[in-house]
Amino acid sequence: MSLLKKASKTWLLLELVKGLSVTGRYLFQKKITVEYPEERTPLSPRFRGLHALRRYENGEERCIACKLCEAVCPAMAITIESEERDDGSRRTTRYDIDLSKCIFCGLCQEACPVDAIVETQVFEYGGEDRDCLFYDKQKLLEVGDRYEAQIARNIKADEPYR
Amino acid sequence: MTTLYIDDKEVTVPANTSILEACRMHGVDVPYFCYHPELKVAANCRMCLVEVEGWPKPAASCCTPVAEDMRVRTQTETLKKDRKMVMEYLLIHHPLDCPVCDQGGDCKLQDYSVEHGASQGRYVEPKRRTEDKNLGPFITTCMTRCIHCTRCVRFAEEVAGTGDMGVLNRGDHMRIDSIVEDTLRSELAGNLAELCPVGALLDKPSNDVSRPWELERHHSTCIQCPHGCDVIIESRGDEVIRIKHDPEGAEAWICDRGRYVYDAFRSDDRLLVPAVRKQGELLACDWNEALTRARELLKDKKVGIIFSPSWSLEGLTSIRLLHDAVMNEAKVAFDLHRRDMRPFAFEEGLSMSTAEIEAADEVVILGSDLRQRLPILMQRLRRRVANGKALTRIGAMNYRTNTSPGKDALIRPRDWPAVIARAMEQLKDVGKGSPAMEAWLERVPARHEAGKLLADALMAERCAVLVGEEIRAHEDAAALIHGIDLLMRSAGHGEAGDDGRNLIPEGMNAQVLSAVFGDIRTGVGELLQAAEAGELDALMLVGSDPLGDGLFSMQARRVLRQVPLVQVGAIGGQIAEFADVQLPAAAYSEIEGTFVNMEGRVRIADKPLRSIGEERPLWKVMMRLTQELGADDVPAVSLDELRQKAAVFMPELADVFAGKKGAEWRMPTARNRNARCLPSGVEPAMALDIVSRFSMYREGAWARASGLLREAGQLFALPDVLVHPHTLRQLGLEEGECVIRTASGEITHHVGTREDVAEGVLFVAKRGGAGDLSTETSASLRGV
Amino acid sequence: MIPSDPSKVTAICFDRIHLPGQATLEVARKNGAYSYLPTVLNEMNREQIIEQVKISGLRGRGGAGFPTGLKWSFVPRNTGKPTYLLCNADEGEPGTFKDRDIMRFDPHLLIEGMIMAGFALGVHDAYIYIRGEFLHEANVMNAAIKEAYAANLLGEHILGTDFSMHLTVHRGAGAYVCGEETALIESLEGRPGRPRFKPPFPAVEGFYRCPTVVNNVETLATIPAILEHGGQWHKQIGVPNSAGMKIFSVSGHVNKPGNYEVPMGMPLRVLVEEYCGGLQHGDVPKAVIPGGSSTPWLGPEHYDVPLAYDEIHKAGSMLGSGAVIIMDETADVVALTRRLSHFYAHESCGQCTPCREGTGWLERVMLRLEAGGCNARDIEVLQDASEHMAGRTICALADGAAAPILSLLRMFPDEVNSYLAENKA
Repeated sequence: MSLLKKASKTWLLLELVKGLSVTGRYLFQKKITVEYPEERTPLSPRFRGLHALRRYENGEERCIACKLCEAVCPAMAITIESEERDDGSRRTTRYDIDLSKCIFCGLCQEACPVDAIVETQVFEYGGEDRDCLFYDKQKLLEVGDRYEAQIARNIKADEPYR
Repeated sequence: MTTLYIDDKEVTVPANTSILEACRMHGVDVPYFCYHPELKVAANCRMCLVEVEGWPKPAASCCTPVAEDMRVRTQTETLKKDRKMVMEYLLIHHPLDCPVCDQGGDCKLQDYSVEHGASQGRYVEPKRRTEDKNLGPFITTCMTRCIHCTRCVRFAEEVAGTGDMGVLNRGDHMRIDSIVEDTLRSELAGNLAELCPVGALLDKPSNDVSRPWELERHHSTCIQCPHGCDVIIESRGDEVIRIKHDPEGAEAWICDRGRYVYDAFRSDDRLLVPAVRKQGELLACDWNEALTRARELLKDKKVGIIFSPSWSLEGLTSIRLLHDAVMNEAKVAFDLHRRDMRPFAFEEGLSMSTAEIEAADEVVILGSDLRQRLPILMQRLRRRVANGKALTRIGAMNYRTNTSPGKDALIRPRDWPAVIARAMEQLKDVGKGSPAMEAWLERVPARHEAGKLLADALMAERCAVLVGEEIRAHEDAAALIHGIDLLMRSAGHGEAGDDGRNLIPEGMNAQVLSAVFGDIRTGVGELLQAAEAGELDALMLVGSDPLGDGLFSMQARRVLRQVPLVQVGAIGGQIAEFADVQLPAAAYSEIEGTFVNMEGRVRIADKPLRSIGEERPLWKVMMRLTQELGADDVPAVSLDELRQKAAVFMPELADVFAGKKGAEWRMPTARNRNARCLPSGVEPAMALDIVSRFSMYREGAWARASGLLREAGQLFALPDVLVHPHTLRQLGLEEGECVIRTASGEITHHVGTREDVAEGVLFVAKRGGAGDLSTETSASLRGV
Repeated sequence: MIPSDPSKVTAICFDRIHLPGQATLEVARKNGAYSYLPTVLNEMNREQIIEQVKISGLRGRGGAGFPTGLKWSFVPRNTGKPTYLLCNADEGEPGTFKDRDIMRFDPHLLIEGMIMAGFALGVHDAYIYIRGEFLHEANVMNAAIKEAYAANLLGEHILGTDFSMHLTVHRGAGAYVCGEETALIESLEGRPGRPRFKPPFPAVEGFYRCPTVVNNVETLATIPAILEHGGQWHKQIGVPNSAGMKIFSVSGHVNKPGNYEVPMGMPLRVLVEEYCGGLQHGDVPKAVIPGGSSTPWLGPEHYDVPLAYDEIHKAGSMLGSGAVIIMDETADVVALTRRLSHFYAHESCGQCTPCREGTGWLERVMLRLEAGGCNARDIEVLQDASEHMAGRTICALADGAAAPILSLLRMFPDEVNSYLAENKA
């Protein structure tokens, strides 16, 4: 019996037909290929991309140099130095993130008590040398300024679940 | 002893211990804020409540003494609720600003909030408004965080003795404040930041710079005064962030000098690379080039070496090894404050521990500005006075001690023989005279009544005499110390076991210096004189700064101008101007090494910071120099070998390094039984005595390199030249510009006045135009 | 004159208070003041006096009700330090106004009591710490002391005996907490009036760290009668364990408020209805504060409670200083409690955390409650914050601050509820 079954399978090319039917089915289905970079997939508000330092509406930087992100960072990618600014507030004099170390775990933004360090939805930050993966305070603030609308939108979207 | 039960565990503690202390002794965790082992009990935070069986209400454990068979419970449900409520009460006005508070991460309130508090507060009314205070250069405040534990108030009252902190108002308007606006004039102010259990009082220089969790802690020994306190150097990477007192150390506090000197570690004055002088300019170079130049200056030459006593024991031994190997003829000196080089009957160092001194029946301070010199010992003496024990002080200065010793006499340095003679007479009258005393007395015709205070104190069972710099720097010091030795021995305070003879040294390692250099040492004055006479070809200064410190700045300046100089050290300072070669040696924070303090306590630092430049430990520099100067065999190539060599001079050290001596072991101080110097009877040439005034913020190369100490020094500065107003009036002069004449010439300088100093004495600071006056011992004044 | 038959005694402290001119020495002496003093000084010794006071069952009239004789016997002898006697005349407890009448109308009674107490304790210096607001009383006391000095009743060798005692009046600066004996001592020493923790008790380490006895005015004013008639005589007045007469300062919604000296154990209803002319409205009070504002309130069910230490304690309150505050049905208990919490917030010395922060917190919540801005959660706060304040501090001020609020929440939950935001709107 089994011999007969085996023989018929072989001679009738049943498996080939079965396989081709899958091919055929997909051939006529709606395509899901995304033509990146012309097309893009939607991103979750929780997407963890390039880091940014945010400011308040009046232009004051949010970061208060509490160094919790530095402490929590599992990859030791963050380096902060701080001092008392002339007006008596505690501010960073240096805020570096080494993206070549960063594992994009998002713990820094979890730890931040003032929502200063956040991860944006930007993931296209590649460059031609390693230096471009080294973000200092100036660069991070610039990222923040550029994407503030997006960041604010995402934080708001995620708020009910926090 | 009392036996009680804490959480059903039977414990035995000394009678009258508080429940809290009993718990601490036996590892039972009872939370507290206001309690501090070194301060009086206030019992106001109410966090340490415990339940005692049979008592209707919970008791504050810090102020409740234990009783026999008491049954204490520390972990009941009611107590948990009580603690939760105390936390809530404390937090209703406390801001939620832990992320910007320097105490965050090292904060009692934070820890207890997690451990005992609720996750959310229920307080919705307006919060208290406060104003921050100006508490001087070292303490910054954020009074909204204050929990009113009054530790700072008790510290100012009991420890600093200034009492300038207080509690104002009542109820929830109560606030901690400086009683006099904008002051906290204490040399112990830095302790307040450590004392405050929350972030209300913080360390100003390191404020907002770091977080407790990023800091590495290095146990070390402070070398800023002979006390050699145990400290913890906190660093981030190799940058020193602050220095704190070591909770496991012998003393409960450290002074501002020891705490804020860290500013010097990274100052521009640090020597971090070797340098040689080319065409009149010091240029950085590599070690080989610098050593070659040093060889040219030193090899087969007549050399004078002046070194600082505050190097580690290993560093000091290496200097001796260098001398023995290749510089046999070199003159070696180190004490910039000693004019009389004859052997002292009792050499520098304390024979008692500071705790023993505090507990003695009588303590006599002979000629020392202890508050500036040894602030931590002074603090112990202050506590002694507060506890109603006797303190006698005889000397030229009476200011700034923040305590009122019962017996106090102001005398001029030239009165010392008469004071001692008066005391001898009194001892003779009670049948305690000796032929040696007679011989001494014969040379001194005068008697000074202050001697009665000394003799009275000597009658006590246990009497500690602290001989200070006014005697040690005296031209006739050996005779004076012989006289005091005679007094002490005939009063029964000169024998082993009851030795009360304490000569306060100028720096660390006094016992080591006596042992290692006793046979080759010479006076700095003598060395400089030889150099001036052209008898020396080169000078090597190893960490020593004879221009800024000591009594020989005038000669030193002349010598440095004419003799080539090899500078070895950690701080360049004003000496750098004269150096032909600079060899950088590591700072005390950067070495493994052994330090011996004035009590003879031995401390081994073994977890140093990394070097921040090319500097190397002194012993390596010395050994390399030995090699360079042609030694066939380098005497020591490792720290262990060096320690073996040190043990040749001090055999007990072998046991110390082998760990056979306990932490309490103290190295004995040298005694010279045969040192019988009689008073010279020579009167000073001029009418006024000169006393060099010590400032903890200014003296020593390290302190001068620290910007923080400099700032404090300027803030607390007195006029550079001071006299008693009567002295000026007798001369028909007024406060202002005067001509000061000494054996070495005349200068015109502002002369200020103060009431609490001896008449007939000119007090000079080691700074500016007045700095060189310390070289002389007497002066006269006249109008411009 | 006080009758020597205990059953006929109608007053002890107030016996001569109504006599015109009693504040002057001449009149007072004519009326019998100091008549027994020579006998005490010449014929009794310290032990006998303390023994008589012990037998008398006299308990401190200031609030705590500690047996006076026992307190005196705790004072150590031969310590090499002086012993001080301090009279606590800082009558600050809201509702209390008995001591001022003794001082105003019969100052020599207090002086006589203090001389006798001072003699029993071997005191050389005694002080009357009088409330700052009692200016007139302080003047009367000072005038009386001056007269007593002139008559050699005070000063060196009193009445020719070996006993010498000096008496000084010190006026406080108006802090309620200085009525607490150790705060009083601190204040008298010249420091801010903040209570000390105990032990050590003042009897061992008090004024300037010397043995010190602090007694209330009424207590000391009772001493002459006890010594004259004997401790046993005093013990027979009143009820067991609450011997003697007690002045009750009755205030609130009664027709005749005032001071009434009555034997202890008299039922509250009798005091109110027979002495004070009854309630203003209704038959039974809405609530009664039996011993000054710091004591828990009693409800109408306790209207017949005998005014004695143990019985009131059994009913859930304290006799305190004997300040009976009566609230009838018209009383707004929430407003009353709010006013009391303002008093305690203002008078807290600020030393202990629960009291410093708790009293202010309670006041702010009470203000909000009265204004209709509270919800049920705030009532929980009131309950928690007061419960964990009482008994957790150095002195009893926190207990006093908690008592009205706890009483309010316990006795009038409905009335409190009616003040809540949701019910007001």
